[in-house]
Amino acid sequence: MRHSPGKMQCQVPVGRNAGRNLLASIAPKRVKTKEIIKKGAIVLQSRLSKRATNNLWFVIFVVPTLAAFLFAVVVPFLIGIYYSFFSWDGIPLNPKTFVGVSNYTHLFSDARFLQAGGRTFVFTFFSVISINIVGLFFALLVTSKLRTRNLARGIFFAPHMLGGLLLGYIWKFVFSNVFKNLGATLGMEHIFFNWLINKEYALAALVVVNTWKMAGYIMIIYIAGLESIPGDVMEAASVDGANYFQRLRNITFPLLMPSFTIALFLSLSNSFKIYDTNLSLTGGGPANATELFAMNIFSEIFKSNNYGYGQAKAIVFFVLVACITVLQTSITKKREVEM
Amino acid sequence: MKRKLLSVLLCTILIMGILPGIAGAEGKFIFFQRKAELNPVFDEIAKIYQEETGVEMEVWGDMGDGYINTLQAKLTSGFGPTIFTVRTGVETELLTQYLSDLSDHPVTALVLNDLELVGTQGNIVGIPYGMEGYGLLVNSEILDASSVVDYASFEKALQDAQAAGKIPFEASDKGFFMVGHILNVPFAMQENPLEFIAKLNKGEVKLSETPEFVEWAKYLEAIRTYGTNPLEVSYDDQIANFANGETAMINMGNWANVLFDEYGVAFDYPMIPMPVLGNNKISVGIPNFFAINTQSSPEEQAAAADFLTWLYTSETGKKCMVEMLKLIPTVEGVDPGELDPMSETVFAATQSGESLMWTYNHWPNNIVNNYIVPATQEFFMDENITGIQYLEMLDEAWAQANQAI
Repeated sequence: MRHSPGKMQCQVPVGRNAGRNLLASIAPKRVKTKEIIKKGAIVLQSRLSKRATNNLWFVIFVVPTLAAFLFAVVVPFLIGIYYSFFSWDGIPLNPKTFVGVSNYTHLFSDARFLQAGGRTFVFTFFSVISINIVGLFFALLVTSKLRTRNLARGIFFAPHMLGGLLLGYIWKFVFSNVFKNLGATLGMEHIFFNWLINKEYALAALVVVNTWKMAGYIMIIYIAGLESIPGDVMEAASVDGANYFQRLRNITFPLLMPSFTIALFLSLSNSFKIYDTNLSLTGGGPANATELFAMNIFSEIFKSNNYGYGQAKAIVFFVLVACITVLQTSITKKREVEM
Repeated sequence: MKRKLLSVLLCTILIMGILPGIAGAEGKFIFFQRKAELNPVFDEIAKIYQEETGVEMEVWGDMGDGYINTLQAKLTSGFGPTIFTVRTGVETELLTQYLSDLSDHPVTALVLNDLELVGTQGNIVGIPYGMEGYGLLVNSEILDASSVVDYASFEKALQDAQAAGKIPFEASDKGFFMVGHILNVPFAMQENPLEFIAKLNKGEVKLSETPEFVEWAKYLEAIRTYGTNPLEVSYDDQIANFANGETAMINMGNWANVLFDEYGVAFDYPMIPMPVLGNNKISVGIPNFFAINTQSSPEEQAAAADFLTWLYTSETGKKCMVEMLKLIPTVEGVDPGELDPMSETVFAATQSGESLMWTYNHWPNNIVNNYIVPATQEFFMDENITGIQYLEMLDEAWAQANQAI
């Protein structure tokens, strides 16, 4: 609301100085110019200080986060790039040897790293698909007229609260004990056996556990999307005679595109960067069949003490993840529709 | 107002928490060692030491990231412990800048059989702490340990155990318990193990062409045929099954004694050598050495040196070593007291000199977990891989480990 000091006395004042202005307005009409200027100054001052306070709040909220981001992400990242040109074991007192880009060129002949990369792509591909299918299914289920939907939401989300490390250990037990006994009892040993000691199945086991962990989280995003779809559109569609699947295909999914963008982004980047579950469930085994990118980099740096080389791997890894997620976001963004 | 009060209170608590960290008591040092199960004991020892000398000793517990990772992070950040433990070989080379010269330390002169840790400059940088040894443990209620003397009798023993309805042999899923320890045997049997490893690193010799290894691989084939799949056995299972009398033979060392005591094992379980090509020695070594951080303040270093002297030479210190930590002594003038049977075997082996050295600390960095275990898992998963093919895989593992930058 914009008002000049001159007009102030003849309208009902609002805002911070409402009380004082109200007094002024019922005071004798004869107002001296001096007072008007004074009042104007007060209003101006209060506005200015309001802006100043806003700025102060802005600073208070942003600076700590920005500082944390700067010191915990940006600076180490830049230092990391610097170190990736050195051969160094990570001990400050030990010599760093500048090796130029040889860390990077060596990467392309490192069969183990390349294999871990290929595996990570396979893992991510299947993970993203299964996480989103299961997550969307959960979301549709708990936004339907299910009577226990609130309980179901809680249950589906619970695995995410446990954290990947713990989930990995729980599922390790499931695969190595429960599955084995189940197979023996049901006589279905070809399906229910210890997946973790079979090279192909171990990666599948990792996909299962990752889905178990992420689906509940992705579900929340889809729920938000589903609930923001206006009811009248759906109603109009049903009046027009569209059945459930037609409504799903022609109305729900297109309007859910923004959620797809976020859900795909999150599941893609999280699956790509997975480490905790990988460590606790399979530890990269059996026979390296489940060693993914992050684990390969971690063991290069912290177990084999090849700090510079590991850094180079990490930078390449970063570029890959960045490219893929940017590509994915731009593709799905294009398909988003406006109401 | 209430909120303001609360925030003031919180700030005060926070600052109070930080202050002692900054202040730093005088005559105090920080102690950090590898064996997590001994940390409570060292806490006790710290109390005893403070009572006797007034010097405060801060014992760091395991911070959950593995000892060497934590140590490295602490050392590199400049806030490292004053006393820490280190292994021979690769670890000593890596941390060499942090290892004080202990050549003149009073305990160094007392160390038995040249067991002290020699640094990269040829000086003494570590004091041996505890001695450990391992071999095949045989449940004497199932098998006669003295009958296992060569490959044929080893295989016969496995068959007998199987016929008796027991698990003939069991290893477990972690690197050293799966293969690292037993793989040491053929290495240590070489005339000059360290030279052999150097040649192997250069690719001048091949495991698949060395007779000790070829014979050793036959043992591994037999273990695969008769034993359980180590990928499916945890260390806890391995110990439990043996302690409960379900397993005839495991490869294990005297550190497991504490666990066997907990189970109240009733039978005898002599420790025998793995009889590869007539080998009659068990593997004995020093797992850890005490070192003093060069980057600590001179006062802290002095306090740390005094503590080591106290631990190894004073009556109370020796008592702590033998009775509380239950370590096999590594210096002169310490009476081992009453050792458990396994430790006795190990101690006797060092007294007579009839023991194999531990070579794995001299293998390329992290080769066991990064390269040897995957190959071994492959071997145990696939019955079609022969012992020789497995050795070729190990040769390949060596090549890869050395090829890495």
